[in-house]
Amino acid sequence: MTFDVAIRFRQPVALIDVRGEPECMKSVLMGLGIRLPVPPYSMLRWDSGAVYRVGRKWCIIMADMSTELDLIAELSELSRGVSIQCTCVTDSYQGIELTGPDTREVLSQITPLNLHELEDDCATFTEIFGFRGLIIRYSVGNFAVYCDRSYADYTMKRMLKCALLQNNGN
Amino acid sequence: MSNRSNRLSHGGLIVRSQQIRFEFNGNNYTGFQGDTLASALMANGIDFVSRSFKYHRPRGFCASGYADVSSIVQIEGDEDTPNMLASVTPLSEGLTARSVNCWPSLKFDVGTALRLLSPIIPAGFYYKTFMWPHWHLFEPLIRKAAGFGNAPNSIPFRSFANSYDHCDVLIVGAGPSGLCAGLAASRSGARVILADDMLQPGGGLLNSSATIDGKSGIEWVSGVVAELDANPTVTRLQNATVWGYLEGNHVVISERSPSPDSLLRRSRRVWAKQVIIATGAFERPIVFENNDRPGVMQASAVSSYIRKYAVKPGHKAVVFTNNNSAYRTVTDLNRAGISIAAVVDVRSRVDDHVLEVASQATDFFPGSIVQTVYGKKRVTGVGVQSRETGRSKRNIDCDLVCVSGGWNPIVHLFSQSGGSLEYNEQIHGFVPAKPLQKSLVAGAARGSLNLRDSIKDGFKAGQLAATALGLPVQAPPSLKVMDRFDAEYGIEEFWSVPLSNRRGKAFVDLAGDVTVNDLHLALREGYESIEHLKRYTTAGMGLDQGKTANVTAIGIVAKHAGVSMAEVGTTTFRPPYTPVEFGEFAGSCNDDAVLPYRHTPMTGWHKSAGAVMFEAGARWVRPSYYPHPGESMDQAIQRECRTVRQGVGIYDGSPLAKFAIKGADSETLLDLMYTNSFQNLKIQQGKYGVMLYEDGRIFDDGVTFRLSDDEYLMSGATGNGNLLETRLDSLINVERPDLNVLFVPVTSQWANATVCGPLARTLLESIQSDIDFAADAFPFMHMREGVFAGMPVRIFRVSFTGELSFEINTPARYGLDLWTHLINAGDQFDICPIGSEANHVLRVEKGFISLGHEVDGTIDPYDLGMAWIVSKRKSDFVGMKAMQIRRSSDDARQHLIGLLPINSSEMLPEGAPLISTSNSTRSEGFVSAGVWSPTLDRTIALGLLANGRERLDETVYANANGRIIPAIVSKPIFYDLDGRKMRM
Repeated sequence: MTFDVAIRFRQPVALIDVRGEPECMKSVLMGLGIRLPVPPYSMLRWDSGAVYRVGRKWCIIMADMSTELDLIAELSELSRGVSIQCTCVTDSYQGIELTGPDTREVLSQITPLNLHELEDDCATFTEIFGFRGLIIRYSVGNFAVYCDRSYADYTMKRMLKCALLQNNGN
Repeated sequence: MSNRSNRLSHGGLIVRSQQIRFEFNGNNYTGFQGDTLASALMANGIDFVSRSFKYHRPRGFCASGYADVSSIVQIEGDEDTPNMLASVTPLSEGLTARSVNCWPSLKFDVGTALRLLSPIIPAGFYYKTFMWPHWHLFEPLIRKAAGFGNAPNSIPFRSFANSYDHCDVLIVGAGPSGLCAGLAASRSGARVILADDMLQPGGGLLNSSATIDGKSGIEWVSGVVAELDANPTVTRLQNATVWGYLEGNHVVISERSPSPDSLLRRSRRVWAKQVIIATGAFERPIVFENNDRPGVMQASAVSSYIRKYAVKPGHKAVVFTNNNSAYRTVTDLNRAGISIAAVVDVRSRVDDHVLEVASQATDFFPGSIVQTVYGKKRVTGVGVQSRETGRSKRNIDCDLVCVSGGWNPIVHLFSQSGGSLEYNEQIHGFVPAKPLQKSLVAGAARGSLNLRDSIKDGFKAGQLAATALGLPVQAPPSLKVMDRFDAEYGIEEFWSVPLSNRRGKAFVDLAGDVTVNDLHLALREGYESIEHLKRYTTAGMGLDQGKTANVTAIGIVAKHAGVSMAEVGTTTFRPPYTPVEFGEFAGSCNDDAVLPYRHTPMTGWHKSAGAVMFEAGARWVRPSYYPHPGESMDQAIQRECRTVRQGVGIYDGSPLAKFAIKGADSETLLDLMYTNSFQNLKIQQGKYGVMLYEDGRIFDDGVTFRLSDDEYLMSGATGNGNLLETRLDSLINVERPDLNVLFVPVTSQWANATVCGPLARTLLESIQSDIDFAADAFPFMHMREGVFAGMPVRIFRVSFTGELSFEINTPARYGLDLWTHLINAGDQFDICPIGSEANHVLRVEKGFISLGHEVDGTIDPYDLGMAWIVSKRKSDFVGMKAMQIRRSSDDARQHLIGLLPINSSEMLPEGAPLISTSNSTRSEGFVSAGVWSPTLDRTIALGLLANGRERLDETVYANANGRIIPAIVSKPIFYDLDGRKMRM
């Protein structure tokens, strides 16, 4: 018997790492017509994506891949002369989707994060299997984990083992 | 007892409709659902289960639950596990177990011969013997003899998991106080985890005739459990032992056979805002001669086997006690139809209600003691005598001795949490005093040894925990508790019975075969501190972990030394409380996922090309070399090197650490990090730099390029990525928060295919691109951005091989396409992929330094002959002051040198010490890297040698494990001295 969870790699999305003082991030995002999420670890959706506030001076913009180049160009323009760093990190991360009633059972093996306090549409960087990863909760039983791309194969293997979907050393 | 069924016709919590077959020592038996292995064996008349650790004496069931440290078995089959207690192993269909510490069989054990040697193997004998001629002569035999059972040599069929959790209130123990604490906390809305190590909740209530609100203990427990289970904020873990209470209210729970079925064990690490310890108490033994014989049991365990499992532990019993609680067992024995030959009470006077119960026995001996036990493999009788006079000796036939020496609150977790303990004169036991963490103790664990107080305690603890969390609390319900035995505990301090002869054995610690004589010997030898005495005798160590032996040992020591228990004090309890399997620590981190590994977008290609892969630092798996069929490793490396020197090679440089840096103060940051200046670096230009540790020694080297006015791309060694990130973070956010600069790690964002060799430019020019690769248009240490083979790229002219080299970076999604495009296009130039080994040879030929070889954590730039890289104009950089101070006082520095073995085919092994004469024993340096150079057709090496730069052309010697290899000291560069090739 296994945990009732589906685990699969996510299709790529455009990811932009935005860092800087909150006022600077706010003004640059306003230029894109996006509001800066206020509460920590919260998320705001917009036309083609979402902005995740993952730190006081740190946001991640997640958008449809088709908008990536435009987004980079616009942010590059908007951030000129502003103390803000907008870096395309689309290729730095690999998203893994976990869905199903036992998702929390699997996640609890992956990260020491207090999953009870991660609410719907919230995200945070935390430790997964001892290295850094972004965990997003969309709803109960629907999470995404973004890990460093280089760790993606390992992360998937461990997640499948945690879900008892793959031979666990037997 | 053997060959008889001891199952009572009714009662117990077993499910008689579900029969279970199991095997013990090769024989087949049956039991029922709800049995433990111990209760099922007992029901089948098996009372001799294993042999003891040291003397190989027969052992049976001495207690119930985790206190029964003498019924140790090896579980066999798919889940082969040593060190298992039969008393907590749930019976399951097909379970196979065998006795431990016996050979060839339990009944005829060769090890029993050790009993003859017992006078010469007292406590600490191994500290005094086995020293001549040396320990290692005896070690294999000792190691073989030690331990219980055998480590499994197969992987269990079911899996291990470890997980994390957080809660408001963690309650340890689901006895009456733990359940009440759970009710109070959960009714306040707290998120509760209730963990209990038994198969069923209820604790001592399951063995009791008490009623709560008119319900039997079992009925009341069922009602409470139903309420808890209906509450979604409560997680109830049964058959789950909390074995560690660490810092930060962090506890570790070992769950046995959790859900789903395919899990064997789960280790759950929980951070709790409040912890309530409701672990109850262990009944303790009284120590007397032969108190380890099968049939000598704790009185409460006898009650437990009768009430929970409907098993008769014997047919004719003697009860021996120093307190009132054992009289419950007298009632239970009577109820089960077990003849009670005698009640022996060390107290001269007992209460009337106790006297009334004692009348159920044939004889009652107040003020008396059980002096000895008769029988070898099972109790056959006891010798009883007056406690005061030692007279009125009388032998009584029996097959069961029910002993109660009082109760020890289970304070293990409280002690592990850092809480202090104090001796309580009323219960003659240690109780929690001052907590260090956010913990509360309730019920018997804090010395409340009657049911009414335990229930009150539980509710109060639950409420206090909720209040501390700011949650609303409800008034505790008023429960009507009726317990005939809830009156005075009435204990009289009594630890052990004096031995009638010197050779008799009275056991304090059954798990470690520690006797009263061992304690006395230790005291005679000066082990006065209880901590020293514990280690010398091993009392309370091993499987026991202080469950039954510690307080008794302290009592005996106090009595012997003529001091109070409080003065002796207690030892420190440490995790784990119960044995933990290694698999629980590993969880899913096993087999091919035991260590994390990192892949580049091209890893699959490398593997399919037959590359030999290795871990190259920071968990990156990289190609070592790409052998052709029939080619040796050396042949492959040499071929790859020659290709780079003569044609064109390609390697995967993706793991190189990379950081995007942006901000008006980026230059200031770079100047702080590197020893050289980064002022006035032009856009699209790069510079090599060296970074130091705070102590002035080299930390890393790399190249940083300027991307725009305020943007830079920094690179560092593959293995230093995390450290570099930490350093950047520390400088920007801690040491110099005034700097207007930000950074993002982008190592994985970019795939890197590095094309190197004299034909590199020709190859790149053959591929469609908007970049001009001509030498004057794209000079060395410059970068270009553009489109190459239809892919966006950043190309850097940097060389690690000493050849013309282009590091082509593209977003990782294009990495494999870029690589295969270059391989296909390079086919006409006989391109070949090269691994790290060839890279290493090429960099040694060129005299380039490498982390972990020349950069070994001891050297500075001057040692490497790189004074030029230390800016004389900068006022500060990390490590500057420390380097200056050390250089002004330490003049015997080792310098980077080259080494040419006199025998040009002899390899200088890495790490070999360098000595100045062939018979010298004084090391003056070492070989940092030795290789066969296909370019020079000979062996070469780099090394660090004291004053090496002043010793050119001198002959030195490398001591290769005794083999002395002479070599000539040379400049540390063997190829392209003026660097023209990489700049072309």
